[in-house]
Amino acid sequence: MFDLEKAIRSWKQSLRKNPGYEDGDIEELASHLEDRIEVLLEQGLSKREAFNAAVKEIGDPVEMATEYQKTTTRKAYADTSSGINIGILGNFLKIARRNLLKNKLYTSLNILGLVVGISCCIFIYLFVQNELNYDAFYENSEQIYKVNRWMEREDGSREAVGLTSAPFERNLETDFPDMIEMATHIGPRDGVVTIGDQTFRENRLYRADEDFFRMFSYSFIEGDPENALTRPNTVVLSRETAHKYFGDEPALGKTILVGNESVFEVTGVFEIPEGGNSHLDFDLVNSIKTFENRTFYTEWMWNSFHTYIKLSPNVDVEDLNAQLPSFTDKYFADNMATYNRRIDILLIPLNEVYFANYLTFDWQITHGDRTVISIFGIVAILIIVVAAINFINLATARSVSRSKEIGVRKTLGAKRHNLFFQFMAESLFIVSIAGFISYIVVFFMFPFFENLIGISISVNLFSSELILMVIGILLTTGILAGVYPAIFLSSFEPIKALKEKINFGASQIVVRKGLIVFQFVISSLLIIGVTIINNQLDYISNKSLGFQPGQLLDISLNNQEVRQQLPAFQEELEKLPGVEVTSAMSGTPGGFFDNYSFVVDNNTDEPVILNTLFIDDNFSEILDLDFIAGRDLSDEFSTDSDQAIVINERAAEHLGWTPEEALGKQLTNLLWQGEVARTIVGVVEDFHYQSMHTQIGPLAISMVQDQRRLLAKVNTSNISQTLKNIESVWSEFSSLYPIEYRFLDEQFAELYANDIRQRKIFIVFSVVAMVIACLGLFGLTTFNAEKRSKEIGLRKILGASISNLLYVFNKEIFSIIGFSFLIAMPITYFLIEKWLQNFAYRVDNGIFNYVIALLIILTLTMLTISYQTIKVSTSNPVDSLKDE
Amino acid sequence: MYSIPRTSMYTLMLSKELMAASTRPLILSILKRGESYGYQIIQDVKQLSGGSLEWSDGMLYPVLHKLQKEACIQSRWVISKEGRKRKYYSITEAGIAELQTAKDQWSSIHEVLEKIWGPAPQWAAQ
Repeated sequence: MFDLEKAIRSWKQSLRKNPGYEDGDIEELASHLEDRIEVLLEQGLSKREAFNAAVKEIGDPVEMATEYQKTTTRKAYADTSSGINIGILGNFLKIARRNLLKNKLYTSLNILGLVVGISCCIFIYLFVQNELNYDAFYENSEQIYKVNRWMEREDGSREAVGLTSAPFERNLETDFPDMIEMATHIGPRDGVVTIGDQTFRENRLYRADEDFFRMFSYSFIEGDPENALTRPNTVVLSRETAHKYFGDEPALGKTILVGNESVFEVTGVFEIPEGGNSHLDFDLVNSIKTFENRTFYTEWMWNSFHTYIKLSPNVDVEDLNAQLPSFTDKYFADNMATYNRRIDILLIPLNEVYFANYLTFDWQITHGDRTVISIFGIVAILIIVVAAINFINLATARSVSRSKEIGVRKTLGAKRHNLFFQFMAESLFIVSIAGFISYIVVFFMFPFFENLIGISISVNLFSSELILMVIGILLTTGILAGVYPAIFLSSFEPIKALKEKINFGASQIVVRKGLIVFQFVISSLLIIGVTIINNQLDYISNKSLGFQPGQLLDISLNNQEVRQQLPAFQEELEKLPGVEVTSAMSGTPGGFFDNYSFVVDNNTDEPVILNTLFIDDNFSEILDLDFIAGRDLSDEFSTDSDQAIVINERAAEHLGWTPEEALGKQLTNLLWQGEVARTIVGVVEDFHYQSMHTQIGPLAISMVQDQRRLLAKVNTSNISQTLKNIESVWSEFSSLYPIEYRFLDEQFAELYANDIRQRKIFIVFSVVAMVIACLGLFGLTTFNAEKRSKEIGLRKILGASISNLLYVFNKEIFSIIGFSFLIAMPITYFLIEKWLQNFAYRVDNGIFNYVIALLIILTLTMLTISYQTIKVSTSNPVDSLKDE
Repeated sequence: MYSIPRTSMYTLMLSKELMAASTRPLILSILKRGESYGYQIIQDVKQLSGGSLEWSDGMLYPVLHKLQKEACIQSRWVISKEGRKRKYYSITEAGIAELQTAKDQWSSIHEVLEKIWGPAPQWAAQ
């Protein structure tokens, strides 16, 4: 039975497929059709006959659509240049999907390369963002400045010193009441906190005045930031610390014992906001008023504080800067006259303090490195460029093999813009997949990355900036990769395309080779860099320090109890079987050394600054040092403890003497009251007591009772037992403070932590860049092998040997790599030279490193292309030629 | 009512161009007599021409569209008693003016042709 309504519906449906009609048109025509059918039915026709006749009378739908279009500005059926047509877009995607699935290898190479590149970029972005976020959360941060001393050196250059003394704070406030709204000072400390029977070692303890929490805005969970530190014996805890001490109970009003000093009442608990990175690094702040009677509270020369000022609103910092010399003139006149060197004040804006890593003596302040950020930024750009080039190269190379498809499409009436959009859709489709996968990768690899850079990052993977950046990268890559094949391929003449006479013109080949060269320049750059950085770090960790750091245990004499019983403590330690000898000193190699001014032979006009080391008599024995001239200090000479001094080779040189001339000369420490001239009795060989970033400095060694650390030379054979024994001896002498020790090699490793981190990062990124470049190379050789299979078949038939074929097949790639390397060499040389200038002791930036790097690159390249090469050289020519 | 005499020998086939040119004044003339819808208009034309003007039905609608776009006619959807939707067209002021112009043009052409051709030859009327 003929269903008339259904027939009409499906007729309407068929019209809808034609974009020439609008909905209203179809309704109207259907209404016409129904009227006509009604009449025809009345005339006695069957439903089917009536329907067929009416449809016939109404005319050809396509012709009608054309007529409709003539009456309006509606788009022609085949015209999709508006790009809005969803149906066509769907079609593009469908074809894109088919194409991608057909070439799985090529697709996965392409996506993999891009994923690696984008993930790296996201990581680096997060890191950079994290660094730039430091101190951003403080309110009015643009008004806050850190006060530093700007000290003139002997040679007239200046040194920025982070620590100031307590009077700076009070006097700045009172001397410039109109310009400075408030000032605050912080004394970084460490200490042991006791609550009931529990003790906690706290390394991030600050002493600060009541303005601290008024200047640095933290939100308080308990207490009031305005008045938290106004009274003596008050302390403010971080949320975590409060929880550690008191669990979930409120901390306010509870008391803690810090060291043996005093009891502090908790007057506040603050919280660090989400992502609140700060150069200030503390868990506890106790009120400095507690220590009003101490020398450091009033003494101008007692530099152990960080001072900050907050400018009054509308005050220009330059106006204050102009007046600051008068401040130091007022308070440091005597000192400046004595040394004939100026002391000035250097104000650093709060948002730059984090990057002010040039500050010396900047205790317990976290610093970042702007250079590292720039390096990261550049690396990110390089990697994404390499990845994008890869993508573009593979896409363009691959697209040529689709010339037949293009020929057929064109023959069937596809316009140029149809093809253009198709290639674009494909390209954008791939990059979106890559973007999606990258996000997943970043999400799961995040802990690894944090570990790599050694910094924890407060991360928001879905910040709008990051998403915009990723979309930006994707769009740029996608469009760049798509636009070239889209324009180039869509311009094919169908007949040529079908005959497969299409070839890249010379310009296209140049572009593609240029891109590969660029890729390999970047990879070479990174690999050469890694080779040399690696060498340098090996060099500094293996270079003889002059002593064996791995055997030397460095114990901190961090409390009065032990210091007072030092000889007894040393004696007990030396009784232990694993301990050979001990020596107490003011600072151990790799650690902190004081600077003092000395006068030579009582000539007070020209004081000199020397590093100092205060020791007992085992010093040269434990560090295994030889004397170049004279003798060691010793208890056997009763006058050695207050009348003799030893200098190092560098100091003799610094003072203009040969080691022999130095003997008998006199040095007097200017700052020590009651100190008399000491006679130089010996010159010791230079040893590395500082990082290899700096030259060995001039050093004066004397027997002065200011020992802060104890070195113990231990036998490494039964080390864990020895350490246990040392710990138990310690606990007999110090009941409250836990022992703190480490081996000197760890201390040195820490000095190079930044370098070691840079090496790790460099290695990872070079691997990444090389992987991406090799992926690209692999794709291109695969494609080349496919394209040239017939040529190779012919060559084989004509008697080419395998070595001939390898030569023909690979010579181009190797010449490209050689060329890239030549370009990369001078650039790297220049950059590495700059990096090596950070080290006073450094390796040669010689050709050998470059040869190694070149070998690495060549090896990797060989491995990459060997698969295709072997496949080609062993293929049977019959297979490739049988179609001819 | 008037009717074009039907020639028994052959149907009067109008050229495409002439059809296109005449459709607009025809539609406007019909609509000037009152509101109507597509199917009805076609029926009217068929009846008036005695079947000598054969449109393929669908071709009317694009012309209606164009006229509406030019504001010569206006339309509204009406639901008939049987529940069927129909689009009714009516002539506008602009349409009436347009029709007048067309009338003048056609008349002048008609006059000129009449003068040239003279009265129709006898054989043609048979």
